[in-house]
Amino acid sequence: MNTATKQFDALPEGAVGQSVTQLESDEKLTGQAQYIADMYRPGMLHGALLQSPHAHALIEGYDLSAAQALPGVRAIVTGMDLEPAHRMGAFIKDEPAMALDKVRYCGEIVAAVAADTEAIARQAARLIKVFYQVLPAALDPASALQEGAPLVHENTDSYIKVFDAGTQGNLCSRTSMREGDLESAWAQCDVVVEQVYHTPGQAHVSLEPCGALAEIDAAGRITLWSANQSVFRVQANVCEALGLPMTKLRCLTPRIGAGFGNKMEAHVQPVVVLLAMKARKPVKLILSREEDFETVRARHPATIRMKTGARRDGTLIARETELLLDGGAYGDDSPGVLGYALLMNCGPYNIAHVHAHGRVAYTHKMRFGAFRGFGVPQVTFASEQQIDAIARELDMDAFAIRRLNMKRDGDRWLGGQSIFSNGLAQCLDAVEQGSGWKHRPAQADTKAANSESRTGMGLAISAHISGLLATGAIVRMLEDGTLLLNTGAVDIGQGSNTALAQMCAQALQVQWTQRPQGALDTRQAMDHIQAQLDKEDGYTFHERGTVPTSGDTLSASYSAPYLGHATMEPMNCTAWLQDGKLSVWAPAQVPEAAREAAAKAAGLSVSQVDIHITLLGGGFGRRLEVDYVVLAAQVAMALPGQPVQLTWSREEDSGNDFFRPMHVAQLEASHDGLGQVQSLQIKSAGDSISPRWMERVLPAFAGPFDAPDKTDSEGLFDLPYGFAHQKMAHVATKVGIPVGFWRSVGHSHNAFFSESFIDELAAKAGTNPLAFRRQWLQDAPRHLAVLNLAAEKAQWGKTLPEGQAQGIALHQSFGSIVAQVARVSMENGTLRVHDVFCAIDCGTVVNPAIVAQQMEGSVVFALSAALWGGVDIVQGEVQQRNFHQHPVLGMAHAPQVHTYIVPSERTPTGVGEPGVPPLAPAVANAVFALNGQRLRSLPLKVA
Amino acid sequence: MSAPRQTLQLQVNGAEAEVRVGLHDSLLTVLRDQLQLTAAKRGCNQGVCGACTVVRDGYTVRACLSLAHGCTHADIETLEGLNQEASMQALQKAFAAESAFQCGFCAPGMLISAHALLLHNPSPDADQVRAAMSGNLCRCTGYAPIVVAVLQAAAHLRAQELAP
Repeated sequence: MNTATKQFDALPEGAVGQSVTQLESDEKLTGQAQYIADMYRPGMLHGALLQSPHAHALIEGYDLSAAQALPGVRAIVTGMDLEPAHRMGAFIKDEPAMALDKVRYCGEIVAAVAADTEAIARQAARLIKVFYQVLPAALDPASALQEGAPLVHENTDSYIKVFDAGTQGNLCSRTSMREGDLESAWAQCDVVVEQVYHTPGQAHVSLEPCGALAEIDAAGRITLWSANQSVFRVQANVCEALGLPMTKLRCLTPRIGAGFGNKMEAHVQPVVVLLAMKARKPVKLILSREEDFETVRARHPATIRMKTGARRDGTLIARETELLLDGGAYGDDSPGVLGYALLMNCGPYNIAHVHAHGRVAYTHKMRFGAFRGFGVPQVTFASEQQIDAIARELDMDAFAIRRLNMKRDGDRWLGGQSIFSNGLAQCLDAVEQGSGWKHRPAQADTKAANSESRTGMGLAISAHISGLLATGAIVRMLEDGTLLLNTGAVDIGQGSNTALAQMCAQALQVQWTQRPQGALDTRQAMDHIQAQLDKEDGYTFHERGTVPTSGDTLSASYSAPYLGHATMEPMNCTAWLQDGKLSVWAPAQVPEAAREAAAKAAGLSVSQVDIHITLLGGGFGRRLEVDYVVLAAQVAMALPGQPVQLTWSREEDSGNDFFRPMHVAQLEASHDGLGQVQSLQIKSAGDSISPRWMERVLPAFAGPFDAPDKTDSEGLFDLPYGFAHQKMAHVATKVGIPVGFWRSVGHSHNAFFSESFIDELAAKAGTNPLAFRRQWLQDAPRHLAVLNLAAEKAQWGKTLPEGQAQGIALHQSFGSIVAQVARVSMENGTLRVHDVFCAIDCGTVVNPAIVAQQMEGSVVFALSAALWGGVDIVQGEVQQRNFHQHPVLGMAHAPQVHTYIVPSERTPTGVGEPGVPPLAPAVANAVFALNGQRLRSLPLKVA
Repeated sequence: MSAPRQTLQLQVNGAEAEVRVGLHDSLLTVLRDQLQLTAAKRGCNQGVCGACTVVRDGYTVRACLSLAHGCTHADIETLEGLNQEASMQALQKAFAAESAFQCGFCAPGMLISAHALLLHNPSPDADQVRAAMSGNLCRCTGYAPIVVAVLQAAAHLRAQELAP
């Protein structure tokens, strides 16, 4: 097996199992990778430490004066800057950020300096005077545990502990595990070996020394970069040691130059944060190699008394392990190392009777902690030698005794844990084969062995638990389809980033297929709709009178774009599958349809679905759809028991709308010999909403072919004007861009077409727009009354200030009649609508304030659309993704809306939508009055 | 009593660099803190680990043991200045293919030493590679893939020389 790898531009499907080159390869090999020492922040200071020269001493005082006087020194911190109650520790919270009141090991951090350069900081540290009262030190674990030994911690009772480790005096932690009946088991043994083993401390010597950089912002929040093996441990340690709320500290990880356990818990991070807080500037502190050896942590020195017994046939029966670990001055990971070492002490063998027990002693030395193997190297050193010793006693081969006793499928570990993966037999076979064990040199006769060099072979097996410390991963797909993997696992060079990315690529096999509508384009849509208008006759919604055979015609082409809804609250839905019932919370305008759609998506019956309609942050017709409900239901079905809330981003909302369809219209009026309008013909073209909506929301009612949809032509086929001949037809197209109901539906563009054209007719007749309309509304008294009310309130006809003009429009929709007069001007080349006078006949008024609110809201809603509304789709992608691309009218430019209600005792009719249609034509008509420019397409672009 | 600073001109990666330097400042400190050339790393500051290895007048030196003031008339090359060189790129490619790095901290020093070796000896054998690079410590790889990578790069470069 070689270590050769391959670099990929993008991870392939089936990435797991491939030797992919480390993802950080290029940056590391070009020297551009940023480790903590390579980071620089503006205004950054450099930190340096002062270490304790004593193993155990009281701190009686400090004299910082000489250090403070050194030019370039910006901050000094000592234990005086700490609260005694603030202590950190993975298992026992016994450790302050630096020595407080006393020092507990030679090398412990006593003070730290931040200065303009590292040289100044180090020099200043040497100038700090600390007054010590030296105390006797406990330097050996066994004697530290005896009565009368100097105490490392006086107040272990006051320390918070994660579990009851039996902490007392210099006993940091104790653990005991038993299985079977050890005492009687010895009697069954034919061979017993017992030995005491000593393993020393061991330094990690990661090539990169420990370091950290803390920066404080104006709000007092700290960003901390540090060499670490767990960003969560950094945050916990720093916040506990300094009494900082976790929300104030953001911990980040640069590239790490190895850890091996040295960077598992805190090193200088708390001190660096303290310096940054005091100096109010960024501070970087990188340990020298010496400080890294002396200040941080190392592997636990261990004394292991081990006793193993076996039967004559080589079956291991009994094991006793007594472990004494030197923990150093602070608990750190020691209780964990002890427990783990004991748990693993037998190795991967079946030994029926076991007693594994041990203690960690506090001593006045540098703390001992996590180091690759976490206690298992020490016990394995002892255990595997004992197995070999027994094998020799029984004249058994080293492989044979292991094969006889090794854990097999179905076996459990000491303590009962199931083993999920056991390739031990194959490992032994491979090593036996590959090493040439069977042909190894015989053991040397010790008398004959002299200065000649000799070779020997030795075997050992061991096991480790994967994921002893766990973290998680979050995979997110961003709006552009790229995948982001966030994980708590820190890559210290072992390749976790690469391996996790491979797993992610394998698990999420994303395949993109282009929708048939993938190449949709609004420019092509316009061309197509226009061509259809020219070519087809369409469906005639209304015809009356006879087509005149002669006459002078006026014709015009109008158009309106696709329009998005832009509800303030984006699409969202919450769904929860519990015990076969699906609960749905949705801001929907169609509760029953939403319930049915959720049931269908979930594969449940409707009676198994509960729907709760929440408040809606805007509907405008968008929430007559159920797509957002279907998606949430699908996710909830994949996560039974888990409530799921799916909220769309603004971009997702904008990009996945059901748009008001694009329409074009050809309007033609013919005049008789007296110049009077004798005929009005309107042919429009555009996609039909209702059949598409039926397919989506009420599929039971969707037919095999599209019936004529009145929404296509509404507002055109029911004009109140008394022209003798009228013909209104519509050519239904099928462009394929998703279409849906938009506030006032077909009226929203049809009123623009018709009421603008009426003004064109008025202009041709040489009559003012109000008079022209009055002339043709003789048989429509209700319409006339509304029109007159609006004109009166707007003081139509009065002289307006220089640069202002008015336009009028009248439209009936949803049973209500609305007339609006818009007063406009141009301001710095931009159209500005100052006032809109709005008259409405909506039958009996239930709540006048609501009517006025709806008129005001409708006007501003319609004005945003009239000025800027329109969606461009290029290659299937909506171009207007957020408010900077499709603006919405803001407070500063909103017109004053004046609402006047025609008193009536008729049945109440609509107010939510009728205020929208007249606005665009009223404004367009005002523009014509202002500068003679006739705008025939939306949005209005005033030249 | 901080050492007074002087302005020096250094030749680094083929360009003049003006730096403010104390008498005791090492070349390593100046390269990293003043010129932001952070490829050379501080692993021990005693000349033992080799992570600070740079090239001075064509020979590898420990930047941590070189005084900046002593480098005023020398040509200094760091990894940043050699990244565009064909022979360095061959080494980098080989290091990537052979996983001749893990945490990457020793890699710049390794690459500088390997590059210098191949400049003076285009066809070293494994023992010569080990000897030439014994001053660069690595804690992660166990060294074997580094030796393979250097030999592979050397072979690749020789083949290129022979190709028309």
